[in-house]
Amino acid sequence: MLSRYSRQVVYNRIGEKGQKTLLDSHAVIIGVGALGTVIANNLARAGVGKLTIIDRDFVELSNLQRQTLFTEEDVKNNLPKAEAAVRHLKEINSEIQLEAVVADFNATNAEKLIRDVDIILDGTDNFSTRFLINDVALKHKKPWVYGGAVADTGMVMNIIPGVTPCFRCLIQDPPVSGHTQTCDTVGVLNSTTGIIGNIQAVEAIKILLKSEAVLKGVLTINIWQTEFDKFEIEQDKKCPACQQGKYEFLNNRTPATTLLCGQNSIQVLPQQNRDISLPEMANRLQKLGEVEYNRFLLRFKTDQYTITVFPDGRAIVSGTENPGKARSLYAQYIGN
Amino acid sequence: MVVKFFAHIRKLAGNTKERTDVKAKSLYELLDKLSKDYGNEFQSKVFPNNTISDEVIILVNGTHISHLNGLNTKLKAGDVVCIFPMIFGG
Repeated sequence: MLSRYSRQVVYNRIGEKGQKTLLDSHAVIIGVGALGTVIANNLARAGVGKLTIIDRDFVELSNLQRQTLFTEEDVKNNLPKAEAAVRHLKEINSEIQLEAVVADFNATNAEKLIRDVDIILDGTDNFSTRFLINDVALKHKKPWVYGGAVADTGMVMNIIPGVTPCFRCLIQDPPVSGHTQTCDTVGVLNSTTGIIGNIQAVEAIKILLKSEAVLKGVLTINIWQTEFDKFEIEQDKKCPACQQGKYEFLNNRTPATTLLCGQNSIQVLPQQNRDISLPEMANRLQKLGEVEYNRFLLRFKTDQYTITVFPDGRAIVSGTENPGKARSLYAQYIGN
Repeated sequence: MVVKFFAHIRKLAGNTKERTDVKAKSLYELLDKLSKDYGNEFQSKVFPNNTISDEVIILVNGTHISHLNGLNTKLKAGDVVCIFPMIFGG
């Protein structure tokens, strides 16, 4: 059974013992987009014994540029990403356990979904889910690996409860402004997400093997300039999450989305009140679709969806009755 | 004092990796000087309206400045200031 892993068993920092540890391990990948597909591919091939893949979205043609597990056939079949990922991973490694969870990862299901895992991999595309992962990981003492990528830059950090600083030591609160860069407005190179996802996967393996060589601090990369940098970060002695045990994102169970009956629309509420400049937002979005606005609201049309945004950050996404899809569009175009 | 720029903040700072020639007694004074050196684009992304952008993270000796004294954080010789963006795509 170990023969299929012979090339990494012979690598002296893994060996047979390490391989058996990997085979006995359970990893959850939250979000299987550009980062998540790379992470899942590597961990499945490396023989991590059980992988749970969580995602709320469907495969679209524009995903294929960087989301390396998916095919045109998945787009034609309108497959959920978690389901499509698991189908392809089964073809890659039929000897491990694979579980697809087609759901929005939120405060109502987070604890249940991570309770039995050994490690959490961040494949999300928004800050609010990462703050939630941080809370639930700290509460249940699960290590997690943050990764982020946009354009030609990316970042990785390991969060090991009781050992390293946490995500809120690095970023105290999610940004509230309406002009945050997203992959949909400034683009992303597939090598950026590829490198960041690969580094997240190897960090996960090191954490599972309890290696001393785990990345400490934060790694940033800029692949257009071919620059890799690391820097140290200190634990915040007053950190609400890792020092005080206040899990504000996990305890916030207010529904973020509401189905608007009969309108084929979903209302999406921001995590906290925002003060959005509609002219600035119109300027940013007009490259991506049809935009009109007045002082009360901004209306943005893209594909079959219309997103109506109010200055306090509230939005109505028309063209869908799927709350996960509405939140995903909100994260893509409006920010977090 | 060493000021280090990371990811796309480095581009805003004229592709400078780090500066050792800036002297400032506070973070406010440092960001004000850097904005004058690098111009409008740097200022609008890092220090808009003389406040710290909520999309930028600044560490002084590895500690987030919101855990220190924000813009009033005192700086001295030997301090290491890191400025980098929040990155949340994926």
